[in-house]
Amino acid sequence: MKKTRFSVLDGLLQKNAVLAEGMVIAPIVVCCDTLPKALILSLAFACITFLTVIIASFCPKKLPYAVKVVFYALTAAMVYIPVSLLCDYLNYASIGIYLPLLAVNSMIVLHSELYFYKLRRRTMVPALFFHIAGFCMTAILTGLVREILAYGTICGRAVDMPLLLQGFSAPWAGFILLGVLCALHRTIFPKK
Amino acid sequence: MWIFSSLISLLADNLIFTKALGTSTLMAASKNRSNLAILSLMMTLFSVLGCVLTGAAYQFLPLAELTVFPFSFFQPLLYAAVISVIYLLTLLVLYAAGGEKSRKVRKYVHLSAFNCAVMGTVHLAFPAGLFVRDAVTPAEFLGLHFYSIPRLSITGSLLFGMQTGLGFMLASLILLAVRKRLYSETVPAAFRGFPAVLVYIGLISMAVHAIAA
Repeated sequence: MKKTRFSVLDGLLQKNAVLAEGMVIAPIVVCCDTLPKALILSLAFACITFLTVIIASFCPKKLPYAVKVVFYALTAAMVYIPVSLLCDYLNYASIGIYLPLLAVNSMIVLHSELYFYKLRRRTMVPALFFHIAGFCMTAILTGLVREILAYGTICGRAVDMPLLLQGFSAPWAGFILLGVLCALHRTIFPKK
Repeated sequence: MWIFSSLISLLADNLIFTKALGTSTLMAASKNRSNLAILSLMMTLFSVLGCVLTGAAYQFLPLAELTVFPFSFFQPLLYAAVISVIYLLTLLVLYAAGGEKSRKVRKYVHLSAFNCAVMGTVHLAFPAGLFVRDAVTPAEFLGLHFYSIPRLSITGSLLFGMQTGLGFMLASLILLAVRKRLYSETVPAAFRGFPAVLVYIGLISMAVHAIAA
């Protein structure tokens, strides 16, 4: 019982999709330069990934992998339509082409087959939830840190910063910050 | 001079260093030289065919409405369908070819097809709003919609796809050159491997940013 509970929660910290597994890096590096963008990215990622993985779990397991991957990608592209309409309706922040690219994120096309669909559905749903929560947590943390350092604001509201490092809004800073966060993650959760 | 300017252009427009597209695939490609060659070729193939087929679909099928709001929400469905067709055809060709080499290449096809670099290339080549509606014409008066000529012709699509593939190969070579060092014992345990690679890509990206500026 204890083992199952831990494996389900793993996606949040220990096996964090971004920091431990190196998945879905591009949107975090480029889009998460402000908190509003990080929030929209998290919302879109959560909706697209959760719905797609749940819907695609009904795909017959006996089908060849190639056919299943195509089914996952097309399902994700269908799920993208209402999610992008929702993001458009909210009109909070724009993440450009990274929104449609979430439909082919590696958690859907790769990790679902290798990890989620090997679990029973009652374990899969919470495991998926915590994996998504782990991604959202990383995105929000990156967005928050970069917005404070680059613009001296949080959600557009000024905070007292003695020095602004505007370069932190650029993709290169996203790579470096993510590298540092990965190293911190490894220090806290060393691989056994 | 021509080679130098081409290299600078490949760096300045590199999807990995400027838009972080295909970073996870890059990690896999830089593991060894054979990975790099096969994955780069596959990525180039998918990018080129993806752009060419999407361009052809826009030109020869009545799909131009897809780039106009609110139909642009259906664009990813078209792009996923195009990549799926290329993916399945590539696998069929490889199965038909048979042999050990084909089996080796097949496992890279899965990795090369559905990733941010290939899909991102198609999205960048044919973004929403690419086809601008012409001014009122007699055809529109009759209820027929006409759109201006697409920015990317078949040749343009081919070159755009090739640029992505070559850019990916260049980025993989840059990473392959230092991969051993980034994974060596001399790097502190917390940074060894993946975190060091991210910091390294960040530094190269910073240099590219400076060149492009």
